[in-house]
Amino acid sequence: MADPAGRRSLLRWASPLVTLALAAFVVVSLTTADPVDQDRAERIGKQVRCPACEGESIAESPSSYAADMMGYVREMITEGRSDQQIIDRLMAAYPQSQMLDPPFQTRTALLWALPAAALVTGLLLAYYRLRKPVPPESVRESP
Amino acid sequence: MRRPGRAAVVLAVAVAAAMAVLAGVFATRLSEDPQPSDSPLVGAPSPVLTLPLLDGSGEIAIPDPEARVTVINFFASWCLECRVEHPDLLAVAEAFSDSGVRLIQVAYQDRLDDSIAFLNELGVSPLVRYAADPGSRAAIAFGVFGIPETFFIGPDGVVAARFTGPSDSLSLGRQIDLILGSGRPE
Amino acid sequence: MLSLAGTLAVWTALVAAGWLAVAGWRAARNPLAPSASIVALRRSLLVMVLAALGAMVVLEAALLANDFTVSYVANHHSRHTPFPFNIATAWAALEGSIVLWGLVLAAYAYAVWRRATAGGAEPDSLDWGALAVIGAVGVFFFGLMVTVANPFEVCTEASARSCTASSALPFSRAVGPADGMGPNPLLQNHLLMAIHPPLLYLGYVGLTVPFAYGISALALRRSGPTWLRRSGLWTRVSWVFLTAGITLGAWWAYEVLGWGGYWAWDPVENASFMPWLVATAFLHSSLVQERRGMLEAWNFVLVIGAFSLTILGTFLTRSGVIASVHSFTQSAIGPALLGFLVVVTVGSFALFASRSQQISSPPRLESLSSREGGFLLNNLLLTVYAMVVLTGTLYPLALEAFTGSEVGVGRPFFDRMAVPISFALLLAMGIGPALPWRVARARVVWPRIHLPLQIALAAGVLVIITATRVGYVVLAVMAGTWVVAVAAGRLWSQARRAGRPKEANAWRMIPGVVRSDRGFWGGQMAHAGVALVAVAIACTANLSQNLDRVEMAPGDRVEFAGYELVHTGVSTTRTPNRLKSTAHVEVWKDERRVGWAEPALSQFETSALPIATPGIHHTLAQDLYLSVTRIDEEAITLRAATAPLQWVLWLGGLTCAAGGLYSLAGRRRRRSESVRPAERARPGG
Repeated sequence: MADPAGRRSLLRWASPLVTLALAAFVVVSLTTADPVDQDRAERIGKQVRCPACEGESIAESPSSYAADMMGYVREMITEGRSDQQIIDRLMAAYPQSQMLDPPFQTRTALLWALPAAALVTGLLLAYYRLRKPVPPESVRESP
Repeated sequence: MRRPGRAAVVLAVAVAAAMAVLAGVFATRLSEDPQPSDSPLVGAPSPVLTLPLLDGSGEIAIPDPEARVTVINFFASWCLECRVEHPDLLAVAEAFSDSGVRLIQVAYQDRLDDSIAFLNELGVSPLVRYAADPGSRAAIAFGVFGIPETFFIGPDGVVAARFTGPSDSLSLGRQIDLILGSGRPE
Repeated sequence: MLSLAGTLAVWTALVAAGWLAVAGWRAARNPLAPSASIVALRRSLLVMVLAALGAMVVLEAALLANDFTVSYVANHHSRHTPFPFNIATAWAALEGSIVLWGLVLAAYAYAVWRRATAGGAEPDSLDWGALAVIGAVGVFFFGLMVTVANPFEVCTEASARSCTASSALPFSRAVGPADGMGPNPLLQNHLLMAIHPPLLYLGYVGLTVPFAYGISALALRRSGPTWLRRSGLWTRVSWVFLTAGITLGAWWAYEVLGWGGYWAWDPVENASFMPWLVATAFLHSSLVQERRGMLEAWNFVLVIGAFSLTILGTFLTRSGVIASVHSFTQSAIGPALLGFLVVVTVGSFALFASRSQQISSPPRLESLSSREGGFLLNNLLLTVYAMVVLTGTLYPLALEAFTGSEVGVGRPFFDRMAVPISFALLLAMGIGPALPWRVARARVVWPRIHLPLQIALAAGVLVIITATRVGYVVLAVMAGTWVVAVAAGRLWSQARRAGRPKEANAWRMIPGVVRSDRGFWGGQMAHAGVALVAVAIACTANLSQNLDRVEMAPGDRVEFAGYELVHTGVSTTRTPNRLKSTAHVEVWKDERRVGWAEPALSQFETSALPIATPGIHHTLAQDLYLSVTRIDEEAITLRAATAPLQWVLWLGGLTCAAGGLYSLAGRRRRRSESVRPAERARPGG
């Protein structure tokens, strides 16, 4: 309180520096963090809808059939198969709709594109229709 | 101001179109069973595997190499509809065994004792094979959703058909006739 | 007897709803409504409310009296259904849920009437028109009850545990079974199941009111903020119920379904979430119109959209087009709801288009970086969010119908799309309240946000140092802290400003500041709730540990996540309708017993597969979630998982609803204010 002006100028310099330092620490820690090692079976299981139940993946479902499917996944992992091979074998007799993660394909193009299109349309609408129009005078004055 | 008017009309037309599409989509679905019933297995080569027999006396190969047509039926003691279809399955298996048709009943998600008790209660036949399914490998290989499910494997080793829900002797017989082909219509 | 009474009540309600629609429309069309049509309107309204209430009472009476000649009772109730669940059975199945829907709709109509006439206020054509629209919606729902979803049909042919109602006529000779199937076992496992559907219905049906006001304003060419102000209370009421209903639904899934999750992006969950998203967008954009007269057309679009989504959601969950955990079985109600959905959307948007010339052109934004700009961003994000959920839910159906090819769309898709949108929303939620209206200059905004920014970063640093470096968790904590810190900063600076003239302590001024603008501060409280939800979701999704199935004989111990779990034995209890096997598992930590959990399997006599109930050991840091997939004397098969900060999720959801509730209190007082600045500026209305 003795020298409010001096304190304020110190704050003006210190504050952005503190912000930057904190941000730098967060960014560095997060980018150098070890990737979360998720169980491979778990990761595969989460992509497969449990046939004996509804709405849950085989990794989450408490049903014993889901447990057997997870057991098969684990067995194939120990056999050294790739993720794709495991899914292909596990799902050979099941329709595509049992997969929870839709693939990027032409037939799913709209699924991915519609939300993006909505976002872009919204942005364009907001920008062009609601932005304050340039007054006509200034248009005439510009070279 | 004309522009908002035009945009609103465009929006209204778009909504109407979207609703028409949706209504069309739903209208086709309303009459259907929501459970997926198309199996990619039908028309494809049958999975090949070996299962232990329920009584522990040996193993059986799927499809049965000695049979012209192998019929695989998944059942369980806790399944009420399996109880319903059991007599028909048994009758068809016995009636067609001379034509080289082999019925294999596979226990699905069931305890061994319970499966055996179920079969003893409802009747067994020496012409039918009863198998266990450790780890549900057969159920996974055949893409079972819920039981009862019945699969028909033809002489060429291709899965010819899949029945979901309780089946009756008439449709079972007709399907087998169809596979045995060479037109022996009832 | 009860069939007759119920049928009478439903028919009466149907006629009264039609009468209300006609009388309301007449009164609305004639600005100097003759008192006769208003009397007719009031009478029809009262009759509709009483008849809807009567239908519900009759249904409950039939359930409590075990009257199995009533088809709904025979097919969905059993003598052995225990106490709170026999009451809740009234809305546990399709036909009964429609009865509840009708009752709630009638109650809202009555409340709208009461509010429009409260304190000697003179309702005008806008209110009459809204009541007419509610009446028309009522005609549809009561119409369902007398046709495709009639709970009061008479059993004319009884089989073992159900009945065939060959006639809707209550005069036929009634033959009921001796006992019924009872409700779906999943639905009689937890008290929350009795509470959360009515809450959701109160939210769903409540959205009819702002929709009715919107349609009334369009039809009567009365655009301007009046309809928003009249319906604002009801928008908030339904939003609060929706929020609470969704939270309790997630809680129920967690406590009962036994898979350890609370949200699966299941079609039924999506059906409740989409209207919530759009209603939330509407809450915010209606503020912009009330304050600045902008986004008028957009508000009509949102209110029609929100109502249509409730009908779509009801259709999806009731028609059987999508298989789902919670869906009712297929019935003839599907085509009826589909038809209604088409009529509502096409009709409303056609009306909107035909009136668009009258909708006043919006004043342009002065700058995108302003409070209005923030609201705009929020609306864009929420709408895109709803669009993602809608697309993901319907895409498999559409693709199969058009190309015959199948695709599954589940959690991985929704998570991938929802996570970035949610983070963007959190950032916007933080910056929004710090932006002034019209134009936000960096000179004004930076002092308001630099300290919250540092606090948020510091919270991130703290989490990294003390707890975890998992990216999503750190980001969620920072975003959540950011939201709360900005709001707290605004509160503090306003309190200081309020205290300065009196040289009073700023702390003492806080309650006064909050009370002076309940709408805003209630909103900030809701934001804080969302922040808590975000942190909890990030923690449960990223920090939980799993123990896959282990076989445990009595006396076995297993180590998991710093705990030691001991299986001490199995007990079975038999109640008339089920056999429940409970595993007793002690939870040990550091050689001390800290608690126990009792996961169980229930075998209902009417259902083949056993229903699993989890056993949960709650602590402040995390829940220990145990479930069993098999129980017998020799061994159990146990699954375990940790759910870090799970309780924060429930707290956040309820805080969010409480914030909405608090802002309601401010609404009520504002009604009496005469003319608000926005309206004064545009006298044409």
